Amino acid sequence: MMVRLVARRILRVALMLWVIGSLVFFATRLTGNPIDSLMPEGIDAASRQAMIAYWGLDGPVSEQYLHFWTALAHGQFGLGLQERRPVADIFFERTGNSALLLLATLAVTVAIGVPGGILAAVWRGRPRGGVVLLLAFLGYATPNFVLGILLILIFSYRLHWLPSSGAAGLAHYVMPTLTLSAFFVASLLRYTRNAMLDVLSQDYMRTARAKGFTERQTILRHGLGNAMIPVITALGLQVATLVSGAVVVETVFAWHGVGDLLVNATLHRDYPLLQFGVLAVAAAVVAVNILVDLAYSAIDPRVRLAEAV
Amino acid sequence: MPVVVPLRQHVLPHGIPVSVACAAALAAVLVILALAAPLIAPYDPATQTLLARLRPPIGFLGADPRHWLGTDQLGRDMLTRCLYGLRLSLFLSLSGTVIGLFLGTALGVAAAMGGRVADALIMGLVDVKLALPFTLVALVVIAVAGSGISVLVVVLGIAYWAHFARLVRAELMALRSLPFVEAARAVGASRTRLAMVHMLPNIVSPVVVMTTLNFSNLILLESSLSFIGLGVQPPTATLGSMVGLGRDYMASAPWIVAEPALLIFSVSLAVMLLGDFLCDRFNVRLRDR
Repeated sequence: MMVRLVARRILRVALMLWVIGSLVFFATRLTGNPIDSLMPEGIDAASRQAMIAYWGLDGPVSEQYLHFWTALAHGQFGLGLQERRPVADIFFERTGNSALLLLATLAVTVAIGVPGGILAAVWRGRPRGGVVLLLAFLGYATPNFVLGILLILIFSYRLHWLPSSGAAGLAHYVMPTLTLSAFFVASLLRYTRNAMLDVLSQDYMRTARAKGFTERQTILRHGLGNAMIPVITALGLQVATLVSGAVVVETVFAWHGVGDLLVNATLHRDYPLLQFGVLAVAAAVVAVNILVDLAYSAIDPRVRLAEAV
Repeated sequence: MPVVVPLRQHVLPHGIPVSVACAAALAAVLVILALAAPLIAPYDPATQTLLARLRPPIGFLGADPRHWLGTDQLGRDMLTRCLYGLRLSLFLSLSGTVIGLFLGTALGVAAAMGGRVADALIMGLVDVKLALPFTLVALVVIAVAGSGISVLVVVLGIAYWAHFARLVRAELMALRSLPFVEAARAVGASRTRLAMVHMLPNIVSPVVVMTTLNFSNLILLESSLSFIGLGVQPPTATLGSMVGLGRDYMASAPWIVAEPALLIFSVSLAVMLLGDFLCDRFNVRLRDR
């Protein structure tokens, strides 16, 4: 049963990557020959022809399309136009930094969002609960780059406590991580609170209390596990948003990561690099989504059964 | 068990919380400022006065009383640029919202009413859209089509269609088997007529809520794209690009970024509060929590 589930997911990934790859392929060829926007103005006809042949842009589109996929399948991703190096090399030099930033963000998000949500649920109707919700709302409504800029203004330029750019040491992580996680902490907190409020009124919670557990035991042992199921789903759905946010935050803090790389590739119209980067990131996001999905159906038997029908 | 008392909010007549009333007032002021920008702005947004560069806002040392909010690195009046930036930001986000609303609604109707193939095709596309980080899509579109106001409107327009499509489809599916729809079908109404006359009017409130929420998301998206330099090009500015371009002067002239940043924050805060309120108002399940 699990095998069928995995097979279906893999089929879906393949389909998705095909759609995404085709969109990228046709988009970059939609506005005439890409060479014209890549090469300097006033290039002579012979060189232009040579470049078109070099990039394999002289055949019919169907042939190019086929070539695009066979090259990808053989691991030939082309050369970056700016650096004249294989795009895969350029790309994978940056993935480490981005992965670290994302993991740090995830850790902070879970570490603050889940306990915050539980407290907000338990403190429902009290001023303290209101304060938690207000903070969450502010985190939700502040655009990440605005938050990043304000943090830099205060902690780098005014107080000189933290570095404003780069990724050299632990101190460099503080502001980017906070900036990127603010939105996700807020949204996870709100999800956890709602899920927890649902759980708090369940019969099994009353039973647990009746058996003489303290309020803390009831919530942590009986409530949390049940409340986490919708929360994990919500977290999984945020992966794409998280990557989108990272692109902006990396730009704010000159973080040497994938997002920063792709923004620069866009500004310089480095199509091969952008094409590869977008496909690779999309594949990674889709893969993470599938993993979350599978983990989720492994944890919750109800999902497994529903899927198998 | 702790005694749960309902959160005591300060409410006005009609059950409108004070915070929401404040948000509405703030939103109204911002919209009026944006609409009236050409009338009330003291200067031209592109006029440079190089002799009056980097003047701080009134109240700080070295301020020029003619420039209430100071001047930027090219001596342009910050108040004027903030007003015009606000105007353009709101216009772009609104255009994107309207495009997304129509595109998504049309696709949602087609998916719900157009048969199984159309449904599978459209919902498959929705899945792809939702699994992709949208910034990547925006990067590709902008790399191909260049950056400019019309491209930006298109990018913002395709940012949230999938959410509308899914919502409209789900709502229509729920309506399809209700007696009044069946009655209409029995007297021979076409599928288009069923959708337009009998069903769509019944799903207005969730669509309105989603429109508000998407408008606030688009404000964030537009300002983010403009901030990283992919939005409108100078000298035209939106609030986001003012923050992005002002970054180089952040150490010596923090007001250049702080003023548009705070303005973006207040727009986003006001719209989000209103969106949250509408969401609670129309969605009974949420309201009871």
